[in-house]
Amino acid sequence: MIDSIKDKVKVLLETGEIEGFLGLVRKNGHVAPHLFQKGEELDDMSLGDHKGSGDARYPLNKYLMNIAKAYPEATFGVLVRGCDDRGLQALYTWNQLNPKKVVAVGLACPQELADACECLQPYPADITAGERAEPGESKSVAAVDALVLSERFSYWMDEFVKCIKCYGCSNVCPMCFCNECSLKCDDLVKNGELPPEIPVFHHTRAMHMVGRCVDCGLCEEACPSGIPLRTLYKKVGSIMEEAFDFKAGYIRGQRSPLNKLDSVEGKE
Amino acid sequence: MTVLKEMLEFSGIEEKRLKASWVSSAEAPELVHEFDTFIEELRNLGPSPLKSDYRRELA
Repeated sequence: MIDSIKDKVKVLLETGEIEGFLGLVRKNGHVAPHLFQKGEELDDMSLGDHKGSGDARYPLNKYLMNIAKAYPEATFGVLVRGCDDRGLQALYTWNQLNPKKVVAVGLACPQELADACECLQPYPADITAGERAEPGESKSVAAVDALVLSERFSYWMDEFVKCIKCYGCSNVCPMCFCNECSLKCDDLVKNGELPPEIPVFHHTRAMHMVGRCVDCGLCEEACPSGIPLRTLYKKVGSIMEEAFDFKAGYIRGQRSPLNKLDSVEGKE
Repeated sequence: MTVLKEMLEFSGIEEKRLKASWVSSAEAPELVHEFDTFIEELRNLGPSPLKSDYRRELA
């Protein structure tokens, strides 16, 4: 599977279509992001499978945004899974990346990963390696929905209270690119206070993820306290889908209904 | 508002506790009416779970 990716990247680099390929490399027993610029480097390429499938994923789009800003004229390739591809479409819509300067190399996720992620579309639009898996079944959101109101409150408060305000969730999030983050504004979130004001802190982030989150799951993986952030963001994503028929990153150019000033019929 | 209310319900806070009304500053009686009605609704809902939750004082 990795060979198809390596072959494609080799061709892209050799023909000069891309200046570099943003992917993952296995070095000293660890998987880390890497900008491949020469064919020889491709030998150490990894797809993000460290001990299990996809357990060493990174927000490559985030690094791509930084690189693209530094080299706006250059075209770069990037390894994308289903979520990354949705991220790219959303970032194009938000004008954070230029689609003409990005070549996405698609990797479809295996079924076990799709199930673990409860991913609704575990494959990118253009697949170079891997085969389309069936969408993962959503159990985490349903489990919380099944509780009564007071149980839901206890559940979330018990989780949120573990927060150490490391900002790992927003730091790792490929869709978080605000230069001035509300969660880092001292007037809203007091410096030196732990836990942060709950549930407001996490609800604020959840509201900011509305129409933005592409469900990559890196936030939950990054959280040192193991707070089930992904479940919360999946829920706000499903609210958007039910109320406004909107899913982030599925259609390039489709802006979130919350992002428009003209009225959406019958809805606020 | 739709999203915020549903998210609050999901997180265990009754969505009725959040209300958005549009009242002109020239409509004082209407504003007072909005307040009175909402305060009544909130009284009927009882104390907010956020008020009595001991975890807020853990820091």
